[in-house]
Amino acid sequence: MIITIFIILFVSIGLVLGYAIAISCQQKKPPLPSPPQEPPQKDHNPPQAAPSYLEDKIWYEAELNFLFKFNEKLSLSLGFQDAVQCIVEAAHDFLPIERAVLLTWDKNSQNLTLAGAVGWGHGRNQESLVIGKDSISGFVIHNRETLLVSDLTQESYLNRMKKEEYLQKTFISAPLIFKNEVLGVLHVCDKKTAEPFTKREVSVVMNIARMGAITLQNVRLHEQTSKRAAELKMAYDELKETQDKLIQSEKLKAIGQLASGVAHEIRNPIGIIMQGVAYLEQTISPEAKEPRETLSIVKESARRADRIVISLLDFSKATKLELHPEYIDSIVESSLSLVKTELKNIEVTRECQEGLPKVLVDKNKLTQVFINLFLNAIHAMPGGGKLTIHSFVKQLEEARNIIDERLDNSFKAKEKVIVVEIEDTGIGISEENLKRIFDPFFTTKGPGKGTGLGLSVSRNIIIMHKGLIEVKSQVGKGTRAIITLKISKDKED
Amino acid sequence: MYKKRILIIDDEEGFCNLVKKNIEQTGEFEVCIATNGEDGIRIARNIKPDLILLDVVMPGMDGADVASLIRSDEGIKDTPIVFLTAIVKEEEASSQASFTRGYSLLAKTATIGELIACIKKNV
Repeated sequence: MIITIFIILFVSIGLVLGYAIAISCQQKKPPLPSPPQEPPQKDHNPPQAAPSYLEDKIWYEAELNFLFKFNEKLSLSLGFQDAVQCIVEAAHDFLPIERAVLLTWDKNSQNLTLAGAVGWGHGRNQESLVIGKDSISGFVIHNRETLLVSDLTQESYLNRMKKEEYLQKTFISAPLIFKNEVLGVLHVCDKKTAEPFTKREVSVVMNIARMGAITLQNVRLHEQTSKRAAELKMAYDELKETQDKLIQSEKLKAIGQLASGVAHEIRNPIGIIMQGVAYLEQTISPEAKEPRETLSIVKESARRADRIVISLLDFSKATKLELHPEYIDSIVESSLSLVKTELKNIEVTRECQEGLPKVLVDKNKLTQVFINLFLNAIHAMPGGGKLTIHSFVKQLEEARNIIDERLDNSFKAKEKVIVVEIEDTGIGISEENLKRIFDPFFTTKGPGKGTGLGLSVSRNIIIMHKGLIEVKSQVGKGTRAIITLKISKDKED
Repeated sequence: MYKKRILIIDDEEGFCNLVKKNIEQTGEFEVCIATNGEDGIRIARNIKPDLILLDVVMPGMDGADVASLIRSDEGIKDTPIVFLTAIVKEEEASSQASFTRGYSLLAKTATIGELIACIKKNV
């Protein structure tokens, strides 16, 4: 009884094991490529002899090896175009064909575009491609099937197409499909040998198309993401710049408010020092050289402190402008005459466009701006140089924003403006310093030579005129200050 | 020789004393000092100055109030007034500023030469 049970058990185990081994053997066989979708009239494709098992094995090994390398190369593609070229080159290298072409399909515009090709020379160009809706590519996209054509002239089902327009007569056309979306068509054309394309070759083309589709979609998404990231970066940079300028503007306002509050308290003691110095100057003997020198230093320091207070007060008074239509050149001219004594060894050139219209400005404030810029230019040329003042009308190419609380006063695109450029051939400003020149109290001049408020005040004045002030500079070559102002709208002026 | 009388009304005593010394050094003027508005008006009524140097910002009665009371006082209403201020710049002081329209203005940090010239022009 027990022996019988053992025998039954052994037989059962043997049967189960045998079945399992049979399955595993089946699984170890290389997977057969799915046969291509046969065109509707396959009669014109000559029958092919069935390949032997050895031939199959060699072929599959070669195909697997090729697909492995192709996949590796494809994954290293740097961009969409790179991936397209990798696909057509791989098809051309592996198969005995004259040319390989990849067309991309845009489902929104319903357009096919030649994305890449190998062997598409010798008189063939994009114009020679037939890529309309009734083309073979259109047929493949519409049917989402791989098409094998052994002799185009004999293909009766392609009757609607103008076959004479096709330069290639034998080809495999495979759609590139990713997640049910057609991305394009891969054509491998004109076999070099007399034999028609085999099913194995069709299978390779289909695999290239499948892998290519995944990569193209990934690359496209990556490029879209990169583009979006670049756009976001640009938007962030613009926002940061605007924020910096707003902070700067608020800082200037705060300084102005502070200045007006403390000016009285500071100027009173300065006044006392000045009166005290004046009294001592009258009473001390002219021979007392040292006391007089000391008084001179005290007097100059008090004046310096006073100049700083005056500059600070310009912030608090910056809201008051007395606007009148003025000719900008007469303001430039009068400002220039005020710094005439400083223009030693400096050649001044005036380039003024004839018939400049008037601008609505506060003459005194604008004079202050020009004097400031002229003095900066003069101080930048201690050994002499050339100062050029160029004034002209210009049409703006694009809209410009004035970064201030008065944002509605921006310049519009195509708006006509008056530009005054003040250029020197001085020492120039380093890139690092150029970012800070409009900061209050920033100066590169020595102690007592500059308050560091000139350009801040100038910028404030120009902004109040709804204008722009920019400074461009190259170290060792010189600096150019550009003032852009609105033209007075009053035609009577 | 008759010396013209100048009255300085300013809460900064040190400033007043030094200005007094500097003006009197010319030998042409006699200077009195008041360190607040009320004293200033009282002294002005008594001495009837030829010119008043008046500070704008003062605790209590400020320069504008003092000027208004002087202008309404029959005995001293025609006395020339020069405002001394720490707020305006020299170039603004030389022109007519809006808040003291009709009066001369002089910055407190003006030199003694400018101060004397201004007095002589208005006295």
